[in-house]
Amino acid sequence: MGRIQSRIDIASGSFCANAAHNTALAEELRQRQHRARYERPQRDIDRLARQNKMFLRDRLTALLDPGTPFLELSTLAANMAYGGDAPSAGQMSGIGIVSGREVVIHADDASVKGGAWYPLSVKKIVRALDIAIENRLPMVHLCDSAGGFLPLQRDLFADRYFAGRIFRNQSILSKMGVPQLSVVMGHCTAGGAYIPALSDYSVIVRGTGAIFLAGPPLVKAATGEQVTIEELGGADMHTTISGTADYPAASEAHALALAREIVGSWTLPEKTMIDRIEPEEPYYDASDLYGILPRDSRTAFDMRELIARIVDGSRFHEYQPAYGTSLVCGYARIWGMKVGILANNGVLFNDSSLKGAHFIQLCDKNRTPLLFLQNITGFMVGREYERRGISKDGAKLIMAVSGASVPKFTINCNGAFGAGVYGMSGRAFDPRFMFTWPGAQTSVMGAEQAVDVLSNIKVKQLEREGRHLASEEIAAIREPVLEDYKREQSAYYATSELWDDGILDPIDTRNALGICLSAALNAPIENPHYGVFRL
Amino acid sequence: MQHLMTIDDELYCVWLGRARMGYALHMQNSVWPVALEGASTLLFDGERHCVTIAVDGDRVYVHLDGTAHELVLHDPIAFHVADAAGPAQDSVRAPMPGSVIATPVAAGETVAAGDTLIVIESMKLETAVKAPRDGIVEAVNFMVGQNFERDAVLATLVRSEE
Repeated sequence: MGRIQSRIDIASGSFCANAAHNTALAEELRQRQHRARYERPQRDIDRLARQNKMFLRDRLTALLDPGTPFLELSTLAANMAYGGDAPSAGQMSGIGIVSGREVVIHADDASVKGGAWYPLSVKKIVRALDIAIENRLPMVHLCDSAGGFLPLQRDLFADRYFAGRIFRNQSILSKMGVPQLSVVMGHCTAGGAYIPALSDYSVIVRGTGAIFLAGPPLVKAATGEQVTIEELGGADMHTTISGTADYPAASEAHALALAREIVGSWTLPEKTMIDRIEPEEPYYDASDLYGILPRDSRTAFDMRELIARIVDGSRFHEYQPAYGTSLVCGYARIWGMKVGILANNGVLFNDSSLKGAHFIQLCDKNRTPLLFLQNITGFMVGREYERRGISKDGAKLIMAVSGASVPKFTINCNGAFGAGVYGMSGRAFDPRFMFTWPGAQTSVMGAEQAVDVLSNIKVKQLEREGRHLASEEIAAIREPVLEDYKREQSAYYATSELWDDGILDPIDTRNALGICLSAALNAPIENPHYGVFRL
Repeated sequence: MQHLMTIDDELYCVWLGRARMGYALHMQNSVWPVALEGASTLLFDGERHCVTIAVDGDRVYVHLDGTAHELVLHDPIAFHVADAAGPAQDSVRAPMPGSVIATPVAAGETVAAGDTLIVIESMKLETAVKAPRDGIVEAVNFMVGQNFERDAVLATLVRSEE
């Protein structure tokens, strides 16, 4: 496979200005992630120490195989919700190696509101379980939660993808033959009691771990019975009498040592075979990505330059290099694993949509996972394109994206707007993993265009009432809408709402994709089959 | 198609095929048995030679019988396309309808592949249209502010030197 010939001038003023801009974005990301992971009010740290509990990050270190990679997901979930009160939505999730097995780890963070579940906490736990189901990955739960955050219960309890989905997903994962382990390191109350109860294995820490449907205060209120935590749902009661938990542990360290031995007893799954060879580092340096990504997201750049910094040896076999050139399609390898890449070099036209739909089917038949690199303002608009059937050709691309049986991975590199998001395997199209780069944006249309549409409607409405607005009055309508729009299309908002699995520093993309591809190969790949393509 | 390789800047067409004992080296119309024993003994046509091999990116250095040789393996697609840029790349066409926002080069100027010929705006995107190959600008057909349709010829190139 030939190497991409980079045409970037790394000494140019524009490259250096881009690099400064994007390095600052990456640094801001690092700082925000650090705060979400480690910075807590002193009283919460003190409480953990008083309770003789380890900090979540120390639990994680003790659980994982030392020196192995850990891909944390949705670190900045809820960063723009609840007034910033719930860093990481009070939950940690990720993919790591425990006793040589790839597992999904989910942990309540007792240093955030006692591990209470906010609506976005529930969304994050459900997503972690969805990842386990889609990729057939075993799961370890580190349980330490006060239960649902009652003031917001209407947004986390009754609906299809709310709290009940956690327990439904746990049951489905077990039905698929994929093992789960819970380590009870704090209280598992009410719904939370079902996490260990629905796990194939469970360990409970004596003194701090407890499982019950209702805690002592609620029991007293309901029946008048007076009972201690230990009697009601402590480690010894559950491991000797009720059988709700399996292994008693003397301390958190003991519990995690038991957990590692239990996970080590699980049969190693056989990975799905795909075309795979020895990995090769990219020829071009990943740090160039900072200088390639433009300061202004509206400036076009060649996506092959990004591909050259992500794939093995910077090698790329381009499919249909002369047709539908606004969509770059081709084969490459990431950590030795072959992938089919679709990357936007401009808006989607009829020809580029057809090319994409065709290429996806080639990859599907060929058992080649798909990587979508989004940089898309949308499909082409206008009379000529409608007459040529741009909606019909877009539908073919969407049909192919939705129907593909091979695993899909999506990165929003710069921007993803309008129906372009559908054609490029947005979140709704079940990519196995989806990440955003710090400067990338997503919304139904660009901020300026949306504000034009909204303010025009308002101006026309007032004109019908006989009022005419001065230009500063129109500006007064536009400005707040524009501010809201820009805020809500930012990468931080997207990740806050769990529209992705996290924001990635561009230079970490190759490693993250390596972990995701490896994880995805734990699930078999169905034979190709599709719906009706409108021809 | 055989592998294309330069050894000390001279081009060779060779192929390494499977053989009962090690490999078979095909070159011109001959075939020689070859094998590598360990990392430093080369078996060639029944004779043993001491070799030292060092790899530096795409280049391989082989020290054999007191002389060092530099080997470079060429990607066949890149090799054959290198000098084949034809007249199709003489005119640079609009990838989408839009308007011109900058014209950094003028007729008569020499450009290298990848240089920006014209900057356009369309569908909320600012796109720098680049030269597909080295050459001299024959004409830039639109001025700043002018609109154009898709496939309009934005600029034309002629070959330098000839």
